[in-house]
Amino acid sequence: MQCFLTKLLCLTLFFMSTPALAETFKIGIVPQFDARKIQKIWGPVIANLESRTGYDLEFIGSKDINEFEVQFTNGVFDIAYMNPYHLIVANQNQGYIPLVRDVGRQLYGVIVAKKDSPINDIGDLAGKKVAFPSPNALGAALIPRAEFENNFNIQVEPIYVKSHSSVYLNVVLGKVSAGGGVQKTLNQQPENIKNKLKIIYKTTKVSPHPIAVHPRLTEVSRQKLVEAILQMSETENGKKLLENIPIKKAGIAVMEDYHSLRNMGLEKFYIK
Amino acid sequence: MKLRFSLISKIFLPFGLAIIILMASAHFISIPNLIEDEKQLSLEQEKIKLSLLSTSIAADVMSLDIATVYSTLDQVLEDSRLWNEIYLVDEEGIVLYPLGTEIPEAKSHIDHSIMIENAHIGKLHLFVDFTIVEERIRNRIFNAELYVLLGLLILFSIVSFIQYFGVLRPIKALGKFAFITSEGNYSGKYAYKVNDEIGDVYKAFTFMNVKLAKREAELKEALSAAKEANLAKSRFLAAMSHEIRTPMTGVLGMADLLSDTEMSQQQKSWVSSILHSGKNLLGILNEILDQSKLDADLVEISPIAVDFRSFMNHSLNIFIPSLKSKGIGFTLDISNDVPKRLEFDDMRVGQVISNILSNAIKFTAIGNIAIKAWGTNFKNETLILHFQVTDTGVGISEEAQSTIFDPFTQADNTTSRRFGGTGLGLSISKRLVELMGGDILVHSILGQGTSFEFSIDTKLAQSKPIQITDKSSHNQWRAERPLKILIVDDYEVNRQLISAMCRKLDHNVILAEDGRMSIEVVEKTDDIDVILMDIRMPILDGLGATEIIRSMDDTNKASIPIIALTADVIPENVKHYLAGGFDRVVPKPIDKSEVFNTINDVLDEKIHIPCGADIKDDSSEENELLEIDNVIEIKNAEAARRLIDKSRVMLQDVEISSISIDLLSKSPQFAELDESFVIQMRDEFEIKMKADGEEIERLRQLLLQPSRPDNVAEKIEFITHSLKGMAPTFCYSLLGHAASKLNVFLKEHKSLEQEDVLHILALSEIICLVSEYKIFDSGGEIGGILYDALRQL
Repeated sequence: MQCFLTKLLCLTLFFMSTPALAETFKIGIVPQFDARKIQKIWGPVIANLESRTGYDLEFIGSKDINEFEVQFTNGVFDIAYMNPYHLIVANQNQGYIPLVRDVGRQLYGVIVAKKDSPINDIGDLAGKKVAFPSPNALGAALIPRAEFENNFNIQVEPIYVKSHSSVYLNVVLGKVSAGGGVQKTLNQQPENIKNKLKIIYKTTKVSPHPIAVHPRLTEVSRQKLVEAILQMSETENGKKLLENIPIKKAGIAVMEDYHSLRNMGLEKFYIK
Repeated sequence: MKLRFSLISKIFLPFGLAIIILMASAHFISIPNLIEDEKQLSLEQEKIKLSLLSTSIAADVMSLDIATVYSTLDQVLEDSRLWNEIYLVDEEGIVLYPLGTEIPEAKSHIDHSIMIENAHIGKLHLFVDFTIVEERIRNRIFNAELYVLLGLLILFSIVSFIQYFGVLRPIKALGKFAFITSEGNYSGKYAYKVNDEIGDVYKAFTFMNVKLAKREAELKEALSAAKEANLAKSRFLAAMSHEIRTPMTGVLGMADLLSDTEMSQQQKSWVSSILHSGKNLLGILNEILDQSKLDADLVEISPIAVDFRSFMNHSLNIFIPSLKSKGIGFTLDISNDVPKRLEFDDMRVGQVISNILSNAIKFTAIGNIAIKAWGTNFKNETLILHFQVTDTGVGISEEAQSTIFDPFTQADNTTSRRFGGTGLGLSISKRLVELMGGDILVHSILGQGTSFEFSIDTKLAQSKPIQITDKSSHNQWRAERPLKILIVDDYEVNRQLISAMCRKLDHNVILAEDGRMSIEVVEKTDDIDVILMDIRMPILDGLGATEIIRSMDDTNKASIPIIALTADVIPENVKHYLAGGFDRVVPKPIDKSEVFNTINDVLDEKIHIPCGADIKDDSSEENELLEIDNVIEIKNAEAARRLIDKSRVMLQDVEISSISIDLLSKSPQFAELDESFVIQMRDEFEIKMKADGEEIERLRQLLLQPSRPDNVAEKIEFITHSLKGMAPTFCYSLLGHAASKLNVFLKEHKSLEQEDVLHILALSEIICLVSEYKIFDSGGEIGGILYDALRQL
């Protein structure tokens, strides 16, 4: 809280010392990819938003998902792009509220196995090694693991291999019996990997990553940001930039979109 | 072709070869080693890199973050040009990277275990592409080699530059210097002042040049002195001969005059001796004078138009008496291709013919002399005229042939004692012939005879030939009318001689001792018909006096014909005299006939006429003989007579024998006949031959009788006819020849003159001798003499 106050003080001081027009917001991005890739995707988006809103958007980097979680738990970010489960957590801790999400698709996890392996459904995985990117990966780890226990009542030996690609590679190489991923990352794999994999299970669908804001932002600022993003998605160039995030079709997000997640009992598997 | 290596190439070839060998050994031995070393070094480095890579991916492998491992390895492979392939194998032996491959077994590679806290979790296999390393090193070496070569090239250029200017150019200059020196220029400059070995050579060269120049100057001086001395000698000889000739003229003239006076037989004989000896001495003097003039290059060849046959007749005429008296046969054969009129120096050619012919006559005791003339190399208007004089005299040894053309040389030392002469004749002839563009050669066999052959360049005469004055001197002259003659000569004997010569023809003679006196005489005296003027005189010489006379006001006196009398008849001087006002030039010693003929010419009147009574009969006979244009043949029955007599004497000691059967058997007619039959045939022929011989002998005796029977000749003709056919069959070739000759002669001469009888007598005598003494075949030595006799008939 002290930290927050300090930051607030700093922020206040900052506003006092700078022209009124240049309102500054800290923006955080979930480190799903390495920092370079994130910079590459978000740099142009942030620049675009700055010119549309007139705000100064300061990108705050996160070393890994853990740090990101610590950061939003502490309310470091004014604006944050995070996964749906983070939004549940952040909403509970700091009151972050979603503004915009991709309304063109739903997020769900897939369980893949090696094409020539005898494993064909979730029941075959009892007691087997299953690779996941990281414990808190929503679609790829949290939802599947919750459903394994809640819906199928089986226990697996989870192995966290840091990325979706590693999951698929471990499966192809036979290091694990199956792996958890999402449809999108599976589609992005090179052919020689995709060819060797089969999907044995798809999880319940949830709304994808929202762009959320801290409740300290004024309604005007919130509205300005929403409008800027929606206008951006209207332009051809802006649409392309948003697709990289990926937000195929930008739309208004509300907290109700993410209520289903709250009932899945993900807390049990979430590692803080 | 012989290879030429220049000095530069000799200097640089070893150098260049050494460099090539060094570079080649570096390129083919050291550099591959270096590449191998570099490869090893590179391998070590790659091992270190691989180890670092292992460490860096160990955690990812451990945590099965294979995507990161892939990304790292992909990146590493992309970044490293050297690294061809990397394989990652886990502890279970599964190839994790690249996906779905096996490690190639055959290829050599390096590997490194991935360890975490001493636990083996996997292994990296690296395949390094050393071709890049190799290529890199090679490129580097190639560059280095390029720099070395470039450096060497620059070094080479600098050394070349130094060698060229420091060594080669000085040496070339030295060569040029030597060449200039060899051309005789000792003052050539050689600009090389550097104190090195070449400088030393130059110094030696310069020193040598100085010495050479000095030596050549000395030689030139010596040569010039020698030439001067030789010229002085020639001049001295010429002057001396001239000085001697002048008094000789007096001696001979006086003796000539004396011979016309009344004297006892004894006195006439003495005067004749004086004349003979004097003429010999004059001849010798003339030869020495000629030789001296030739030495001093004072002889000029003056070609004139000549009627060649007339020239030959006149040239040979004077020798007829001596030929006759020696009984030597003589033929002149002028080839039809020799044109009638030619242009050459008749005096000089006559002199050469005269020299050779007089030698031929001198050295020929018996036999004959033949002269031939023919032309070759006819071109436009020019030709080469050849003369050949062949005699049957004593001959000249081969040794002597090589020196006979040298001055003062005779065939042998005894020759001069036996035959006299200066030995200058042939030397003069050779030099005259050479001056006329030809050459003279001699062929001779000792004891058999000599042949001289010479040639001259000549051309067809464009102008009409001058009538050759009959040089046969006439002792007796008469004058149609008396003349007034002024004789100018500083030498009293000459004055007397000429005046006596003229007074004898009743001319009025006025004498003057020098040019000045002669002018006084001309001034004082009218009606002088002709002046005979010496050239060299004290006070005023002949030329000066003539000039003054020619410039006199009295035109009659100024136009008096003046004849120069001088021993100085060099063509150049003669021209000078004629230009100076003389009408004619008559050479000394004075020839009466020439003086009188010249006076006739200048006065254009036949005042002096030779007295016809004094012309010898035999000379008119010879003239008749010589009128035959191309061929002259003097048949000498007298000579034959003597040869026959000689052989008759020799035959007295000869044993008579029949011809041998061996010899006869070789004859084709008897070759295959029985021997006894041949003997029979031979004996029969010899009996007939003897009988015929005796019959001819008998008939000869009849011929000698004043009242000889008419049919004697016919009888002889009949006998010779059968003999000429049979004799050669039995190898009596000489008999055959003689019989044939007599037979032909008799057929051609039906009415016999006295001379013909002598001819028949001689021929028949040969036949008698041969048949009596059985002289078969060619008859050996006696046969040779008889053949010579036959040739005279």
